[in-house]
Amino acid sequence: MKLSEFVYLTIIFILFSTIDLKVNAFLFDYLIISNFTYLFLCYLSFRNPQKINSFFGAYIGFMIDLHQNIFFGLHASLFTLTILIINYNYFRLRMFSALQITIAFSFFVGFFVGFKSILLATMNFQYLVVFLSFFFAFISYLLIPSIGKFLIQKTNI
Amino acid sequence: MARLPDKSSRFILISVFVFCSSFLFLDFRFNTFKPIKDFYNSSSIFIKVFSKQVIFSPIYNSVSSIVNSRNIKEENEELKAELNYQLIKNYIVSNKSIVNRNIFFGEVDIEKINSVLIPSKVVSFDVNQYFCCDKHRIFLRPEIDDDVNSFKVLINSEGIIGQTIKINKNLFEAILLSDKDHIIPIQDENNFYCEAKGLGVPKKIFCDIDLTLGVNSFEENQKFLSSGLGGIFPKGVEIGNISEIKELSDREVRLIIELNADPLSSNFFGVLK
Repeated sequence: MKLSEFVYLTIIFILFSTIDLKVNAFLFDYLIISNFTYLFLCYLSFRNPQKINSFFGAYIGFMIDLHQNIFFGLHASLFTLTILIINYNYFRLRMFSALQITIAFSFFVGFFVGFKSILLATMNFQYLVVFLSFFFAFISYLLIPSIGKFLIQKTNI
Repeated sequence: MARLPDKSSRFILISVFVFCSSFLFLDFRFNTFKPIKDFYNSSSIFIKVFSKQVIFSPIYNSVSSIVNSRNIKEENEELKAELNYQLIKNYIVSNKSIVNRNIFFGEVDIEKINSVLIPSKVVSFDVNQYFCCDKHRIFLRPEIDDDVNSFKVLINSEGIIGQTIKINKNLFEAILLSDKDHIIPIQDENNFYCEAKGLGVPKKIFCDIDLTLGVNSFEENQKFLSSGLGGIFPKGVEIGNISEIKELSDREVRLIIELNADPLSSNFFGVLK
């Protein structure tokens, strides 16, 4: 990956993270957590696993941890784990239809939200948040491929 | 064992995950990376505050000051136009006779000034020609959606300026009293009547008097009023004063009258319907 692409993707992920924070402030009352950043990473990793590897996932994860001021390594661990799972099941996922991919990534989001909630809101963990976030992720991922294609159309990713 | 799309080995994938997890554990359990997070937060806050104070605030302030000054300028223009309009209305109130269309019609209700006055703004006024030459014309645009026909009286806050010539709905020409082609019937306070022509000099009109008619009681600063004859100008409105008396011959004198109303005093005029 070129340095310019690296910087560009970093900015894009930080922007997605900012959007997530803003949207979450609004959706908090409805027990939903948006995860555009995570879904975008899933999309990129599945689209080009050679370039979006575990090192990149760790780097972006650490950046988002710093940006969101949460436990250092939380996003990095979950991003690398996701990339690990996608790499391990890459050829299996390739056989999935778009709907199945959406459902699979929405399950990933469910796990991601659950894990984050356990660490960040241990006393207020609610299964309903995981459940509703799954559906929100399902809807969100209908848009992510289009947005992702638009954002990386001028890169070689 | 599943086949990987990436050339990197499983070992690297798993070791990176373990590495990140160990970071998470250390931070979660011992708060090890607090200094790094604090440094990042303080740096980002500093950059935000610095960029806001040094870059964005000055730009915002300069842009907003430009917008504000433009608004103030527009507001100032509106207030100036309104002030001029009020001055013209005041002039009409203090010179009620100006709303008499001519000597044969009765008094118009002074309370309905708005219905007899069409506010107009100067579109073009060739000031060079006004000062150098004898053609004194102004092009004006009515401020309200109303037709301005020919032969209407044009006034400003100082008095009668001239009369209108219709061009189209949005534009009309005004011939000033001082234009050499303009004639206005005037009279003095002793009921002496004459037809004053434009002198072609700013604010000047003249009357040629035949002394054989037995009238010779003229003096400088003598007041002249509109006579209302001709049916265009109202009767009894002060037009100006004699500024000079020239002897043309033994039997004839020329009275040069300085007009009260200066067309250069404002860009705002009123047309009496």
